[in-house]
Amino acid sequence: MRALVVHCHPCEESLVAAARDAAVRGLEAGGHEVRLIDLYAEGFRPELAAHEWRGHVDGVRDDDCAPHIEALRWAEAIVFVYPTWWGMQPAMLRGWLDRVWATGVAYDLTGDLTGLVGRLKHVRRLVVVTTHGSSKLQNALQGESGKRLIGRGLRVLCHPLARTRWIALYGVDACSDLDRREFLTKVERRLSRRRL
Amino acid sequence: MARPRSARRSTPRRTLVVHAHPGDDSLSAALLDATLSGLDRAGHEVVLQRLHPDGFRAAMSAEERREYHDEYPPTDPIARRYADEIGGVESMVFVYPTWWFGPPALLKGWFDRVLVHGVAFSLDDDGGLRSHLRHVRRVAGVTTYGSPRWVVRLSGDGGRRSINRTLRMMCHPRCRTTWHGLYAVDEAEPATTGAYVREVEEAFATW
Repeated sequence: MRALVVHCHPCEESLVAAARDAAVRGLEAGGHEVRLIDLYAEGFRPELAAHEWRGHVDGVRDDDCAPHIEALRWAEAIVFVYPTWWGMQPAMLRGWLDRVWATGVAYDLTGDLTGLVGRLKHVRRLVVVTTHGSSKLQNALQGESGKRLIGRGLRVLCHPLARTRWIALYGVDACSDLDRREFLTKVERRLSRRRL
Repeated sequence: MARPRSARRSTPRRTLVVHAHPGDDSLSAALLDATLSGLDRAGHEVVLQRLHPDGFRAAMSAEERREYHDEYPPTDPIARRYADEIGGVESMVFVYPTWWFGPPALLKGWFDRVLVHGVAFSLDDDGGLRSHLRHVRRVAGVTTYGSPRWVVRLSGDGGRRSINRTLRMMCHPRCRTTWHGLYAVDEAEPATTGAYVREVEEAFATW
């Protein structure tokens, strides 16, 4: 598959950056074609500008979004790699959605019952690789906003049979080096499957 | 009619209002004005943080991430001022447009960069979390949604969950939450949006 990896962590020495490398290694081993978007490395601007907001119905975006939009149209699988902060994606990744998943790119406005129709029917897999500071139970109590956004909010814009895969490490601040290594191994193994 | 609760108090309630929208001619800006005017009528002392005009940065930097577990880390002057202002507020109000079922990057960045370790909470040696926000007794959200209500429900309403649950769990044990939402905002008639703005002002005038 054509797999777009979207990585979002400010620190190269982080576990999440290591998970990005494991994901890319796995995908390549599985024979997938890989493209990487590294939001912090390229200095992506996450704040939607006032003129972009005014033109949102027409999908007005500054030029820096163009290569991202092209990559989104190319992808059959999207692999998000990020730390979960406050139960959600970091601001940088939310900003990528605010700016790149624009009208006319990710969806069209219809004005009918649902309000919009998805334009990402070529996307058949959404894979999430993430770390949580808190436990699985705490996340469940808080309502898992980040998981719902991708599994429900974004998935409906994709292919009707699109599947989501969730690869998460909970309690990351307290876990051992062995837990971390096992997590990286799991990421690489899961992404090396031919059917993601 | 009963007098508003706040009118019976000797000291005004200190309320933090956080606004995140790039357009000063937006419905969200009108909702901010309505919120402020309602709170003023109720006698609140308001601390206002307007993220867009203040030039607040959404993304946590690598340096900020590395300093995250320090005692009181905000080094960026705006994040530092915002963090200082949180101390002692009794209520928090978030006014923002819902994009992708949650707060815009700018407001998410406020959570990431202002509500950091040492400001909102600290971790004990045994890994236990101790909140520093127990003085917050009320939390409210004022938002608009592009989607109709049922789509928002199905998609999990992440912004509301994050504020009314994740943040709420760190506040006073008896903290109360309030939510105001206008759905399918792009198709809403001016009369509908006008009524919503007035409803928000009235709600805060007795909050």
